[in-house]
Amino acid sequence: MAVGVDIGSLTAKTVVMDSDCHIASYRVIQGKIVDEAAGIASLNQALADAHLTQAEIGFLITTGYGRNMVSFGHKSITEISCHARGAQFLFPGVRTVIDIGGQDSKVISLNGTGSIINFAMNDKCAAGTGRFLEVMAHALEVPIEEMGALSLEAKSPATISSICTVFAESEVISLTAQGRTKLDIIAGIHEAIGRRMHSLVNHVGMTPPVVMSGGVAKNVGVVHVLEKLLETEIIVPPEPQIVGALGAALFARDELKGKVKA
Amino acid sequence: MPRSKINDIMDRFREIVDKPYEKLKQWKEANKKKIVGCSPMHFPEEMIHAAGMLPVVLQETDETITTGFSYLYPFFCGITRNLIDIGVKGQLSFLDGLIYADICVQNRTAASILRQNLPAIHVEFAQLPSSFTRKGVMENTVKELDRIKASLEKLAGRKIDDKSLKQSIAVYNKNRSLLRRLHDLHKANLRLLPYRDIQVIVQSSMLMPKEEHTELLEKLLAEMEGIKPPSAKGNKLFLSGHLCQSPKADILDLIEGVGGIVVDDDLYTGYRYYAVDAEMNGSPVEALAKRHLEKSLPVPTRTGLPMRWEKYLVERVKACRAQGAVVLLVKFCEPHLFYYPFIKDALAEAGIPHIMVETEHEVVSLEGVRTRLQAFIEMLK
Repeated sequence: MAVGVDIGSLTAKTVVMDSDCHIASYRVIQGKIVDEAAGIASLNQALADAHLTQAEIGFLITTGYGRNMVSFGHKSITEISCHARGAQFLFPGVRTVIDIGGQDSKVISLNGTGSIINFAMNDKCAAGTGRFLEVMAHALEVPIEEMGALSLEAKSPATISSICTVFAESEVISLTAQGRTKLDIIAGIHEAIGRRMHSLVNHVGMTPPVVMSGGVAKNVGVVHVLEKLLETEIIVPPEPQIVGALGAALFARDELKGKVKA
Repeated sequence: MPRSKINDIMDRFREIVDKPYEKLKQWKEANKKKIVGCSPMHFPEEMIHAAGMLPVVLQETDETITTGFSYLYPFFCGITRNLIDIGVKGQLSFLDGLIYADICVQNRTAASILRQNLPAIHVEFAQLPSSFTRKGVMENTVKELDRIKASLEKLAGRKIDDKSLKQSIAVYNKNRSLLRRLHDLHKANLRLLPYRDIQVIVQSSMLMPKEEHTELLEKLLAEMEGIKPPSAKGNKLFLSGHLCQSPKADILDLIEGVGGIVVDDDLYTGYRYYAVDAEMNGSPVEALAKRHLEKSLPVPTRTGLPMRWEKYLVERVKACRAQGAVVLLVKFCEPHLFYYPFIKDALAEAGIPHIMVETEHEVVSLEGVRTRLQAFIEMLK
């Protein structure tokens, strides 16, 4: 069995893959602080789902920001390569991957044969990350998973000018005080993320088809704003959070078959 | 045991690079000689040497900027803010002279601030020409160097004659030729020294008395030339940028840690510093002017050079057969930032993959940089 474990900042994901490239099982574990234990938990749960034991792991690749912090795993590969590989597997012919994770966001450009030709990463600014959305959801007292749908009902999205999470939070509080509706504020937050991502996309250049991965892809409001700004359709896989772990599992499968690519 | 001899010499180099200003202060007390600090890049140190003083190229330290904050905007580059900060805190007060050469607006501002705040130090600003195609550029350069020479003579209390200036040029040429030997040795044996150590060797050459550095470097080369290190495995990279300061060792370690091997560079604390010599015949001041005007490697702070930087960079990357380039860009370095779009286009056109890493004085999280560098290496495979 080939296994990919993606240890992100807010979630740990595992994908178990059989020799025919079928996903045998997958798990996403949410945690306040994701560490080695969360990675192991997601791994053990995914293995249990597939009725497997750790002894049956043929090759395990770790990815994500915690990829080098863990003691298990045979090799680590960056989430940039893994998201590209996972997206390419799910949607052959994809040319641009937008990944918005918990603590950073990336835009990856692929050529016609699926190789990465360029990428850009936003790792300094929290806007355009899952954490930004979490903070805003908390400030507005709205469940994070409802933000997407709510924003689509907004009549006049508020303008969130700040791109810093801390200042944007105070901006949201003053907008609330001014009587702006939650719907308009949420839509404004999504637009702020969209603008941030738009500039990151411009760094590498965009060629369709575009796939979006990472937890934020579950937010229909952000996807909608990005589609509008980029003037293109964005394909979202049914489980956008496991794309990195899937890519890692595919690289692990390469190792088992003796063809090493990364 | 050759390895321990190498380590001993490297320790001597590291000692001064780790705490440059403390060590220089001690050196001054022990040797009772004047020390003149030079801003990086363009000023010929030979002139200070010929006046019997110790020239040192100012280096950025890791110190957190505190007092300096009230003297300068935070959008000035790291080395400028750092030098102002340690200057106003009194750490540069042991210097007898300070020579700034015109390289950028930030550098000019730094010269003015230090002149105002360190009145005991003799501060000079060398207005070396920026445009090399202007009429009379050679005459003007010689005239300006002569003016600085007179100013240094006043500070040193002695004349700088042609004979002593020529002797100083010879001392500097010798050191440069040894650094070029090190450069060649590294290219032939890529695992001989980590790249951070090569930076230390060049930086220490900017801080130690040249004769002492030359002696140590000769011994080091003699020890290393007999070593056969294991063959280097990894992706060969060219390092470009950092026009007037050394990249932090952490970044160099990261590049090597994720599987990159630095084969060559165009860094200031690298090939740029020792690539060319000054001529030994004719007038020595003219020889220094010629080194500046005719032999300068392409640089974004000068115009009218025989070759543009991006073209030169592509040629250098191809010559050393690097698979990719890492552009190290100092945050807020305007000359480099203005030039980067040309570099980006030229590298893309030549089919050379590159990654730009912005570096800062303040310690930022290196994890993001690690991911980007590792992904870049994975992309090259």
